Amino acid sequence: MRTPPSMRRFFLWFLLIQGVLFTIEMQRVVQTNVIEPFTASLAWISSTLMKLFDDSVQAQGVIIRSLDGPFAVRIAAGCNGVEATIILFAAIIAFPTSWKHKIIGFLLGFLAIHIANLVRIITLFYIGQWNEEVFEWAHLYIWQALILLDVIIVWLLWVRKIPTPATVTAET
Amino acid sequence: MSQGNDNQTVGRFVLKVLIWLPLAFLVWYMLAGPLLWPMRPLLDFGFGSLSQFVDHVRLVHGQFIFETTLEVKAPDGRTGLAVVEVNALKYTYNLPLLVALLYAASDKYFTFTRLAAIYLLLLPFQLWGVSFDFLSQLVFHAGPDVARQVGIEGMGRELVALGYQFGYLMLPPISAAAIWFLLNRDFVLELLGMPSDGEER
Repeated sequence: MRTPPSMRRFFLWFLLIQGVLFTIEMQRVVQTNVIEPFTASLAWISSTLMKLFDDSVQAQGVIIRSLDGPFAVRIAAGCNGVEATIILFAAIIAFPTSWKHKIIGFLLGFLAIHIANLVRIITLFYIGQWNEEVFEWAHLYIWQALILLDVIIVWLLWVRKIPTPATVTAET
Repeated sequence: MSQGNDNQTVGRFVLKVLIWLPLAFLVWYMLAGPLLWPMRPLLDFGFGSLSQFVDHVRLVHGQFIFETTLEVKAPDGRTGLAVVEVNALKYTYNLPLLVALLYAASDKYFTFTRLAAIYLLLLPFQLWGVSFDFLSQLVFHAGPDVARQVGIEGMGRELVALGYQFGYLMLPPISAAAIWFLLNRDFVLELLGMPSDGEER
């Protein structure tokens, strides 16, 4: 078995880092230049994927609409996966290991979260056309929980794959 | 512990969470009224003590209705008092999420006392979310007249916006994950393939 790092220290760092990252994300300049273009790209990727089996889908900025009816979804804060990414990044940064392993964790974690988030956006788009009440449930509660579960799984798997601090020290 | 057994441990944990999650959500939704009820007097007392503009807080079908003494003017010239509705479930879904995470980790949480303790641990985060939702609606969505009467300006507006976004986007998942982590350090270490650090209570 591997030697655990100080979990209390990890936890305090995690809380601090996610707070700082979230405050940075909320700045207007970051929203305009990073978050909004990123969210629009998510809408475009989602609609492109949906067009593979449904040609009645159109993306316009952060809005995905159905050409068959009045239904449209707007990808807003909380639905673009940015906050889940912040939580995962904070947990990765706070965990004591080399930056090489942290960067690998960022890249793979980012992919894992945003693949799950694309599934969320696509499923919500069709659930919304089917039943508004189920859409509210899936949107506000179920998918929020599943995305957090995704973050926890990715972080657990990442920690299990990296060398612990003792091993890192021995390597350097 | 071998890598294969470790992977099974994580896989088993995830499977258990996915089994508990729908059940926990169902029970939470069906018991929403009683579960939200303790928040009402706390909000009533908190806003009644700290502000001059909240007259009464009611709970109707998972929504907190804040009846205020703030005057609003309709386009036709009539005046009335502002009433703000907040969907409390948006801020309390961390309860079924945490219960599913805890039940998947250990059966020691299958007691009423521990469930009550979990509920109390989450309460401050849920109150934060509901409170900042109410304030943000007054400051940003109820019109300039209402915002002026509330008296939150400049940096205060920025803090309300940040508090609302943090309470909506971050606190529900963070609070559930953090409490799960703190209550199950030994189990988390087992999932990570590490020995217990002896800090768990």
